[in-house]
Amino acid sequence: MRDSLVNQSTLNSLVELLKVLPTRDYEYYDLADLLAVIT
Amino acid sequence: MLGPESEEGGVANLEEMMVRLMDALKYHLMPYLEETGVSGIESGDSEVTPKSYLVQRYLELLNTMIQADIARRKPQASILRENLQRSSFLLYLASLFRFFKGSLGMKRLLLSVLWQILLHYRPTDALVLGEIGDLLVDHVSSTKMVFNQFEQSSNVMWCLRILILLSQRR
Repeated sequence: MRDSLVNQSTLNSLVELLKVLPTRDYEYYDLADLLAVIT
Repeated sequence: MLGPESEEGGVANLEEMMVRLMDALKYHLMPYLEETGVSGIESGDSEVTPKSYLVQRYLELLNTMIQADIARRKPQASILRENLQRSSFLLYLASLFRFFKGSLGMKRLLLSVLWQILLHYRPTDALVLGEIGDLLVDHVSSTKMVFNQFEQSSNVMWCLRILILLSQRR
């Protein structure tokens, strides 16, 4: 059994956060930072 | 992001993680960015706006995901190909390249993503490929090569590399 790359609930949360479409300035920055963290 | 080694229900498979991330992107952020295009970004200069910051991070993520996808060495089962070889996505990249004419870093990132898609995912829309080719020729012919401007020269070299690839595929 290989070690887990990421906790399942963490991945679920990440995926849910990725579905939020930004409308305000801070939401653009938050989403961009989230993408940077995944990268 | 790394989970505990023995976490029950942990995602042990990079492919599963990529599939989940790609699914989230392709039904939400990806169409949103393609539909809104360059609106909300200041005209063509290098000033960072909330949306241009997001676009940059988005392209960096795609760049990394392509590299991970290619490293899986399963070209017939690519997770990203279907979404990234779409004509509308390639046209979106072209419109960003046209728009960010003042930003060498953004153009470098766009060229890198474009190169990887053309090389590994082999899009076939001749019309779109022709438009990309014209765009790159315009860029090369309008760039004044200056000594010590490494980033600018590097971008021109990337354009030529892509143009050679396009020519070979014709």
